[in-house]
Amino acid sequence: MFELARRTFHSRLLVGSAQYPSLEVMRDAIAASGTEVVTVSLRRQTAGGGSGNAFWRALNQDRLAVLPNTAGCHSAEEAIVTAQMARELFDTHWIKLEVIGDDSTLQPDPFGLLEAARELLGQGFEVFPYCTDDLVLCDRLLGAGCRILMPWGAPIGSGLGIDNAARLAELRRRYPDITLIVDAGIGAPSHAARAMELGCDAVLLNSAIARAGDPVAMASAFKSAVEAGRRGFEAGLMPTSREARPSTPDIGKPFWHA
Amino acid sequence: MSIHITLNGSRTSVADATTLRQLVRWHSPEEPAVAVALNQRFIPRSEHGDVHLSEGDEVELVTPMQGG
Repeated sequence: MFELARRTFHSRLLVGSAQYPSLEVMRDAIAASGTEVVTVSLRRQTAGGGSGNAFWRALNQDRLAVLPNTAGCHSAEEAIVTAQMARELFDTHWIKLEVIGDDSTLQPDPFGLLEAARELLGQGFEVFPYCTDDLVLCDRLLGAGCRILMPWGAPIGSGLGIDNAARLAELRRRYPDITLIVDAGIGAPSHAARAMELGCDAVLLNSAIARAGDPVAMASAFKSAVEAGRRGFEAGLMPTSREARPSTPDIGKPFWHA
Repeated sequence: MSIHITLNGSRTSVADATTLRQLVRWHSPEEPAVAVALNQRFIPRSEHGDVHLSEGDEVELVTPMQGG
């Protein structure tokens, strides 16, 4: 069981709803992933409606928790208004807070993020901040009242995996009780397993499933990887060493080397 | 008499004193889920009927979409 923002879930995998070849594939992939939390967004309404309506109806039928994002926002002010609209639209006080500071890497703007987080926490939001692994930023976000941190593993949509294992491990060591979710950069099931082995509470990903050759099969692979990584962490990984240690005891060998 | 507003980035004209509720119904008659920002401020649904548009207002109407 996994506690997230005072709710209990079975799955430690959070999945995005974008980029799938079709709504049907999206729903099948989400089901195969075992996720109970799906990220969503909002966009300008075009006159006469559009596919957003069908998407929202489809997602509602599956009775999943939704985590709206503020994707595309480049300032605290934009992110705050977007979060307020998302709260009404999706009927949730959860918000995946993104304030982008660099267009080529989509790296979060730590200053705008902190400013928006403070304001939204004051307005009763449960803030899921998409952040870097910077220790001071994370400390300030927690000081502002965040109970969740969502550091990147690598840039959004890059598929590069966990590019910052040592820093994620340090965040886990420094903040053993906060909810730590790797958000962004994961491209393969092994990346998700690695994040979980480091002690992260969950992973959030989208492109790695949606852009896979077979999104439904990949969703199932990620489900297994997250479960395996978590079980590995809970079992306690062996200490590493740069020197070899024989795994077979050499006591009682019938011959020996001089 | 009509006024000019910017609706989702496009300049358009509406009747003077049109309310946000009327604008939403006109623009998105079949869309059950629409949230509104007026001049970069969120306007809760409960206030849509009380807010009258003025010349030069900037309105954003947003709806759910897929996201990561």
